[in-house]
Amino acid sequence: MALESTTSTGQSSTPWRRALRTSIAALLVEAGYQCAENLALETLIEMTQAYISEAGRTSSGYAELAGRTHVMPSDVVLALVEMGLDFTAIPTHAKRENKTVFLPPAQAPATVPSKILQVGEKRKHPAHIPEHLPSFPDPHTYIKTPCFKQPANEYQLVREKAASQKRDVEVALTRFIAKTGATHSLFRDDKSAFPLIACKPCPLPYMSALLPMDSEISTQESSDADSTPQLHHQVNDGHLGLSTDVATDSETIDNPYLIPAKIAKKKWR
Amino acid sequence: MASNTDETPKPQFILQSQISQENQQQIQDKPSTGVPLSDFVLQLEDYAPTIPDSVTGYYLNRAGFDSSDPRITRLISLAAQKFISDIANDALQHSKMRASGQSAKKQGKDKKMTLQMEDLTPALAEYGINVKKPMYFV
Repeated sequence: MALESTTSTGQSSTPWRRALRTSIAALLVEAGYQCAENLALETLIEMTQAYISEAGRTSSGYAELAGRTHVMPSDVVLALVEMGLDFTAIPTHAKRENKTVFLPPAQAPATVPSKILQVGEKRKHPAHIPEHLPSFPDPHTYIKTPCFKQPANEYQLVREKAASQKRDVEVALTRFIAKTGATHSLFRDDKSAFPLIACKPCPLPYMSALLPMDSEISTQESSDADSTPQLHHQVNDGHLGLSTDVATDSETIDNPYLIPAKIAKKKWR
Repeated sequence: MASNTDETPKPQFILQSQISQENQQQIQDKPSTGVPLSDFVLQLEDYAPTIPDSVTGYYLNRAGFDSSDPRITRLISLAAQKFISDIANDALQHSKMRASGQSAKKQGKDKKMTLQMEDLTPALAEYGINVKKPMYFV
């Protein structure tokens, strides 16, 4: 049988007051009540608090009057009698039939404070500070270090950037040529892995360096067009296919927009 | 603890004289209260009152009372319990009287016994406690 309160129970904050509320409710149930007004119950709680405090205050007063600091049972009895309690009824009250005892509220486990994160090593005291004084806090909390951004045009950075750019360009060009032209494969099994630019064997590799370039040929051609065209053609046909192609192309152009540009005549001698 | 139990009878006898001086009622009960009371304090070693020890100890500590002996705490708990029980009994009698006066009208069926302020106030007045609370305060 639980004691209900007629109004909504105001949840009090302190756990002691809540436990006291339960105890007084149990006492009321023993007396024969099934229900209690919240107002009456709270009044009884307040009175019990005042009663216990007054008993404690008076008994400690009696103990101090007797020249003691520790309270003895006799002091308590004296104080309670002083407060108007009939002590003869206490043992019968204690041994009553329908005594209710509920479990006393357990002690809440103390919360362990979380450990402080240790950052870095703490500095030792300088010589002029005694050892018993508190140690320095973590260094990051008070040590100031200058902070600056590296300039963008620093020599090393620029060189590194240029080198990486150059390497990227080379790699890209190599890849492009390998994709468009003929390739050798480094591994026979996998054709696509590590393609290498096919090497065309040339009987006279130094010849291309010795021969005049296209622009020189065209200027030579335009300047010497009247005098020795046959000779020029013979030379071209005999040695380099590419230059002959250019020469024949310049003759076969019929598109008016693609007429080779005229270059001012140059004196060679 | 042992020293305490040894010392308790001594002031108990002094206490008896003081009590008998103060209360005339105690004189008749003197043979029944004297020694049995100290025995009763010893019995409190294994007694669990309805008001928990920790709660009583908390309020005693707030009053500046160092309760190292659990028997003392339990004695005060018992006294407070007795106080509340007496008041509750008186209030119950009041409500029964009130109910008997009105029983002819509408209290035919047995209702739940509810502790109300209108019963508690006269019961407390018998103990010299005047409670005046606004009825709307809940």
